[in-house]
Amino acid sequence: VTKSRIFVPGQNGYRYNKQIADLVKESKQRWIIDLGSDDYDLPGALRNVAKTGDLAHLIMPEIGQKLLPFILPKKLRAAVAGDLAEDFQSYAAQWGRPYALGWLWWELAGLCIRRFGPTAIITAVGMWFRQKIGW
Amino acid sequence: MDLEIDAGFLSCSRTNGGGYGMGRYTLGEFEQAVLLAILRLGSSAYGVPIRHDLSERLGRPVSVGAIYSALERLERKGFVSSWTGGATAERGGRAKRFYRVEAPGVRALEAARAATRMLWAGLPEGASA
Repeated sequence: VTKSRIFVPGQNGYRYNKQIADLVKESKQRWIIDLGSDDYDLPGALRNVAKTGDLAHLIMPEIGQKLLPFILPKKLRAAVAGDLAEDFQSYAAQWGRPYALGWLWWELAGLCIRRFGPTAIITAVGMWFRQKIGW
Repeated sequence: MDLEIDAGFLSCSRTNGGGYGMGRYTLGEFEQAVLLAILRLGSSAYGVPIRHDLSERLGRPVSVGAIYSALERLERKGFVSSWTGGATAERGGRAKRFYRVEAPGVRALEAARAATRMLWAGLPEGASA
């Protein structure tokens, strides 16, 4: 552990007096935050985190990432997943995790509809429902 | 407005102006907005800032799917090119995909602007009010 880093086990964040420069997910259990120099401009999404020290609510749920391979071609997968993660982090910090989750599902639904078309999705849901009620 | 259906990603998308049926491809309103946003953002044009720029200027939320659908279409037409940047930590190690407007894209924008000017020609200021 160097002076320029913060280790965040679980949901509790610990912070030095400097500004946060970067956020790296190292494993499922641990986050590392690299600290920048004093004059580094703190990213907006992380300002609230720096105050509260709670990081877990900023992480995009893994199910969202697992769905992407079914929706997107390989070429765009990483870029879209990164964009979603970046915006999720921003919205969760600004408006709270429930809002960010709502936004994320809305975006994923939009991607699905654009990929498969509304007719295919309505048909699939209809078939699933008919099977469910045994009709 | 027609419905474009092909085998590509996010293929169920609409285009304004009926470009595919005509001799020359006409940019739709949203495509123009995306191209202009890329030009405005310069070297930092990737999904997130493009979306935020458009949401701000259009005054309505713009979805990630809409952005990438338009970008995919514009790239297929040769109006924009893209490349993958380095992985960044704040995105969980995922790379950004940067976009740049190519010469045909600039020409298409100029043509769209000229077409709009032509349509407005002869009308006095505030004629729409």
